[in-house]
Amino acid sequence: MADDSDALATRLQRLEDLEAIRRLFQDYRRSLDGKDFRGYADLFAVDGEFIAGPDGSIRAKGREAIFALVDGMRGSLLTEQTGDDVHVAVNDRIDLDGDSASATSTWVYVVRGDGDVPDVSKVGRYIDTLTREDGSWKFLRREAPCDIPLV
Amino acid sequence: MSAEDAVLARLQRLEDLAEINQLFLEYSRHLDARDMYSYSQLFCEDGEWTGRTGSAVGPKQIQEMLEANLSPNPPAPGATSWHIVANPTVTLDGDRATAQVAWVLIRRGEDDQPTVAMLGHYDDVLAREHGRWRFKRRQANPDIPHNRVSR
Repeated sequence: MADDSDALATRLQRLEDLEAIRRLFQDYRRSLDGKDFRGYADLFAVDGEFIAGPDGSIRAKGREAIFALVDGMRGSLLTEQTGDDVHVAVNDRIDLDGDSASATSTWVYVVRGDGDVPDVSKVGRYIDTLTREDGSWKFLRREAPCDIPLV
Repeated sequence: MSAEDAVLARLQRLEDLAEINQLFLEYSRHLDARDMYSYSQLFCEDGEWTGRTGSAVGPKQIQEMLEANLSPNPPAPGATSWHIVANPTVTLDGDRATAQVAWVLIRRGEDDQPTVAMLGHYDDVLAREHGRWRFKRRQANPDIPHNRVSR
């Protein structure tokens, strides 16, 4: 019976981990679009890393460096005004391995275009390594290559 | 709380989240099919829908208001409206919940081309009524464009 309840707890934990990681992806998108870049940086592990741009040319490691990087994107890679850009995060695929996980997902970056119409500006992927740190799932590494446009 | 009760509570939480996410998809499916009766049944007896199209309280009133105000979705030569549901964040609190979820409205454009017509988000209050999760309040907020009626 003890074995049964252990097995049940393990199965529950797996589902809870998947749910917590999906929530992390949404917290990421929401803090990014809300221009809450401190909250965004806190979603990374202490030695977490963010990588983007052609050949991974845009990168930062550690929360302070990640904050500075993303804060610097305002008005260039991100819109100046909150509400003028939205990341749509879909196609989550998550593989759990104890206190680690790997995942891929799709991001669609929509901005307010001329004439106040939605403009699908970019489409890309997230390639993630996740870790459970102090009981919470965090990004150990998030790579965000852009697929359209390629350059 | 006994160990068994704790496991049951964790399971209930995951089931609640799954049912609420399913509710979001049913809403979108009935809306695109313009089946406003089935759509209205997703609301609590005193559930409220509010947005640029109008406001109404109660399933019957919501159905009548939307049938009067919502643009039709002509069946031939094919459907014209697809609400893509994305970016759900659900916060549970017993028999109540709050949520935010995005929609991307894709329409059949000129020359039979898909166009992203609108992007917005719902602010939801949900309640468990007669054992099922329903919308207590759904507020539809168009984000891009800001200046057109939500359809």
